[in-house]
Amino acid sequence: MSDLSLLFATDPLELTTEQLDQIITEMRAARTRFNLGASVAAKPPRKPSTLKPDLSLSLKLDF
Amino acid sequence: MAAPSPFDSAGLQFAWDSTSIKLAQACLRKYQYVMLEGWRSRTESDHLTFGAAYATALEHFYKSAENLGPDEALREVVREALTSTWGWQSLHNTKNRETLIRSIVWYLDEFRDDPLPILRLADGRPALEHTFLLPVDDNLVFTGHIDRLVEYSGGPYVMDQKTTASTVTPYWFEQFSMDTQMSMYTFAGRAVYGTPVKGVIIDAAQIAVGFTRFTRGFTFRTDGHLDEWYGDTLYHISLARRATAEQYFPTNPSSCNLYGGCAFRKVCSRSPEHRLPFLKGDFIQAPEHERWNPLRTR
Repeated sequence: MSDLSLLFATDPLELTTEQLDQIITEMRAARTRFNLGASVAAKPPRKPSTLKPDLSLSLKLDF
Repeated sequence: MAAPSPFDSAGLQFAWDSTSIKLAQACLRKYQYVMLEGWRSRTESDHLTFGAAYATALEHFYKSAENLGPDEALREVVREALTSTWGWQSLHNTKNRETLIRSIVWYLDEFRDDPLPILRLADGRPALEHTFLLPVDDNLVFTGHIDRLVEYSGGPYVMDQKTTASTVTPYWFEQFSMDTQMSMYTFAGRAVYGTPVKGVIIDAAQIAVGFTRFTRGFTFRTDGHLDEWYGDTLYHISLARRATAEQYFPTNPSSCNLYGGCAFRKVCSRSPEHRLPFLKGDFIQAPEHERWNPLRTR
């Protein structure tokens, strides 16, 4: 059982201030992870660099 | 203390909130099952537990934050939500104690830098947590609970929260343009606070397994909208009272397939003599003091 699951399984009236803060901190961390994931997913894909002509390759092909 | 009965000595409902009005508008058979006989589905119970704890937490946060500050107020509402749901074993796929606490914390962080100022009453008190009992025509009473009255762009609005499993889009908000609850809030907000409430701001929370996403939307009501809503509502209430007096509750088959299907569709589709076992199998009949009661205060 994870720390968070243990906290949710504890009688809420017995939770200390530190334990309540731990729950809130865990929830905020989950939000940060979610927002980070969402912003990465929203970024446009990088342009493929292979569109640039490769001079060295064409020189090689000339031979 | 037990809440007073919303029914008069003849058994006719006189105190009406938006939930009971919507039931009567949707289908008189549904009104009979839910309001008069107290049947409710098992998963609906999870939905109600989640929604009530979420709304209470946000409402209490704004009240407590005035005196305690945001950090202590947050601790207080998290403990309160955990306590009020202690022992709750949700059967719902996304609405449970963890997603409840997540949604409360995320909501308050999301709108931390975007507070809508709470309207102040003439005596200086903030317009928070108001349970209204509004006498109207035909010896009826409209009841309900306004969490917050806020100011937005120079106009007063009722603030409300909704939770959903759906993705929230502009189309999703359109469901509230004719919604009785939103009309009731605007109607009562004007009467109770004596201020020209323009409509309702809805903070919608999409509750998913791994996240809660928030979107803010608006629904507006003009004087003309509210006059029409009031007349129509009294008409629907009169039909429900007549149905109760005559003990005849016709179905409204046009409502059976709305919003993914009425919970009672499976029951009503059975031949009348076979319905009771299906009701008892899929639904819980709440004892009278636990049934939906518009006069029960939060």
